[in-house]
Amino acid sequence: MTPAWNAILALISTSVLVRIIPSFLNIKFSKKVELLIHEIIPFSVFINFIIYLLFYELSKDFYPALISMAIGFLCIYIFRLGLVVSTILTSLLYYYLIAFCQ
Amino acid sequence: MLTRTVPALLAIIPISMLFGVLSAKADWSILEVFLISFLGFTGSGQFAVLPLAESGLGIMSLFIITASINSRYFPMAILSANRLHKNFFIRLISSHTLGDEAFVIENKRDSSADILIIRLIIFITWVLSSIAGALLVDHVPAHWISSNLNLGFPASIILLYLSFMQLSQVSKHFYLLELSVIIISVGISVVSIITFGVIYFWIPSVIFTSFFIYYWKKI
Repeated sequence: MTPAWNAILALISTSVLVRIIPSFLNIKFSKKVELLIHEIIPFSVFINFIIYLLFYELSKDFYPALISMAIGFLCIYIFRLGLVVSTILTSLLYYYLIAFCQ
Repeated sequence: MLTRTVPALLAIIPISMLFGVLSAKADWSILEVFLISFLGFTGSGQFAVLPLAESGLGIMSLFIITASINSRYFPMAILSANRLHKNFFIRLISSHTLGDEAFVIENKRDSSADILIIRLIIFITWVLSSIAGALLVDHVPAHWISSNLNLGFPASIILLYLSFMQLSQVSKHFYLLELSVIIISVGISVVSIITFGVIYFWIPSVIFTSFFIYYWKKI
């Protein structure tokens, strides 16, 4: 089997395990577990997802990512420039800072 | 719905094209690029397996690595399961096409049809962009690829924004907005990443954070 086919089989197996099987699980939960699933776990997942993204970007290029994300936060929440414009400005700043640092 | 989806599409197109270019550089055929994006459909997982598969790593090792990287989909899939269509094949398609972008774009008011459309738009864009990248490989300047430019940054910005939006929706009703709970939850997540690493922290961190909030609420 070629490397490409090994990779394809590994990824389809992973998709079955982490996306397809959990989507077909049909379990009746108690009220306590319902609370966990509908209110608490979503909160945990998003908190962890945000931290994951921050860690991922900061570990690549710390200062350019930190400065760009801070400016992006200002663009979105303070200046209300909208998601697309803020993302374009933030990304341009990020790539400029990386080029500048090199 | 399209308004919510378009920014994510603009962010994933260059990433997926880059994957197509890199896989074509590794002598993968167009069919193989299509199949890995279609059957695998996972940004980080695809980028991770490309060099590992080329280095001769076996299928079991590849599976363990990709399952670890993509373990974040497990809680996401469970959370969105009851919003998916009841029909077997539609549910199958909806579940396979779950991705980070779709998960942060969808909300509780979306119908199963809305969810399917959001996921399919992102999925099809991803697959077509990777094929386009593979087809354009000869036209991409070599220094663009060798410079290790982080093309994923715009996507991270959009995912961060959408995650904050979702977080505020999830927590707007009640106690969860309390600053102390958020700070301790962030602390648990950071400690988990430092302890288990960025690939393996997902499941333990989600469990620890959830139990902390659950017991905090009981108190």
